[in-house]
Amino acid sequence: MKLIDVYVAEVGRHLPAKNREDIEKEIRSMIEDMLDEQTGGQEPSEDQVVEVLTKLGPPDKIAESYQPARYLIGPELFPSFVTTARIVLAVTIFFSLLGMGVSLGKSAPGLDSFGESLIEAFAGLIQSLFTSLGVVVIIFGLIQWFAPKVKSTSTPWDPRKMKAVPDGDRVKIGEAVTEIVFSALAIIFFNFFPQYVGAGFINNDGSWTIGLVSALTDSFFRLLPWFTLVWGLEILLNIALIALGRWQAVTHWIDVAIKVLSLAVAYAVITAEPLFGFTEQALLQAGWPADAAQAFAEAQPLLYTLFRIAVGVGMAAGVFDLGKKLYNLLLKDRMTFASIEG
Amino acid sequence: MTHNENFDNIVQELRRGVIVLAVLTQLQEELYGYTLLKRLSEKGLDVDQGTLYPLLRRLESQGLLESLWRLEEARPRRYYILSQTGKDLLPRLIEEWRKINMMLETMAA
Repeated sequence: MKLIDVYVAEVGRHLPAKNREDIEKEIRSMIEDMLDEQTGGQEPSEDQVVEVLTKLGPPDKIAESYQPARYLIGPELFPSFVTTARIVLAVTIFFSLLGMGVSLGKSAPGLDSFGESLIEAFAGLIQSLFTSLGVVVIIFGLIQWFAPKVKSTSTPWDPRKMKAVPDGDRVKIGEAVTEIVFSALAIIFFNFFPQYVGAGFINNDGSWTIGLVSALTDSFFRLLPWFTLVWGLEILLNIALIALGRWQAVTHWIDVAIKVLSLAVAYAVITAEPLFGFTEQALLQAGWPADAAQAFAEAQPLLYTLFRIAVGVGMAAGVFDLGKKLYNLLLKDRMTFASIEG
Repeated sequence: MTHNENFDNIVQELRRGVIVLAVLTQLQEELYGYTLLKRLSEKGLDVDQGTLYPLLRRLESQGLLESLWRLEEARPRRYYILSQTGKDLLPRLIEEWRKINMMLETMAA
């Protein structure tokens, strides 16, 4: 009988504690009935026990048949999980590569140091990927655990609420990637290498008198976090768009929010103290000839006014673009919907 | 997948579909799991233990069956029988089965 005890205990090990005792009792009773039939009520031999248990199959299989299918993330949530995981992984890869580029740029010259930084950065990337995927899995696992019937309790599906996907709503991958690349370059350049924005001076013989004179002012650096925020949001939006494949209401509204923020930042650019410029003194210190330094410094206010006008024109275009987008979102969609209903 | 495998799979699915009804028809009288298994087998429906026992528990949790442990020959056995809900439902299910059967007879004719 010892084999039966082991078998029953092994089945129990795979069962939830709540029903374990009851199911164990039932399985034992079932095994005894099977043996009874085989031996005609006699004490069974070990071979007979083995035969019956073999017929029943492995304990974990028997235990499995007593339980409903269990999921960490069920089939209803799985598609959303895949979409979210794709977006999160893409964002993680992007920021890890960004970080990798910056740390490689800052690494000491020399092949050894470069190789070391590369390995470190790669290890960091792998770690971030696992961490972010882990977080997504945990969140979806919790949703599954606490709200397993999330979808089945939602309002009944109505075919009229489906929206056709006009070609205009398809994401243009090329445009999205370009925006990502330029925004990323802007973030890297202005945050990590702002000293290269400036003016040089070339002697008549073509040689540099002295390196660059940095042109960005304190006013620029006060606004830089806002620029970075706008560029960062643009990157995230475009990554999400690539992952989703088409524009949806939520991405349209996020785009509207980013456009409003950009307009506010552009307004700040126009009204703020000049974001770039040189004092005559700085130019002289950099080794510029006095007459060139003076001429350049005097021309600056005019140049800066032109810059402000250019930003103003850009803002006007932005307002027009935003207005068009809002019109499409608020009025045109409603009209389309009304015509479908009518 | 061979023709035979396809045939076997479809037959298995068909049989799986009628197990619940077959079990309910037999449990108008009190039976314990193993006797029920034998009875179904005698009548031509072979069901394995790993399917029948969990099914009985599920039908009980759905309120269609009731169960009771009895001590027989110094051995506990769990007996199952239709609950009132099960009794009410059975004639309707049998009626539904007849309709399905007739429908398929017509289709296959």
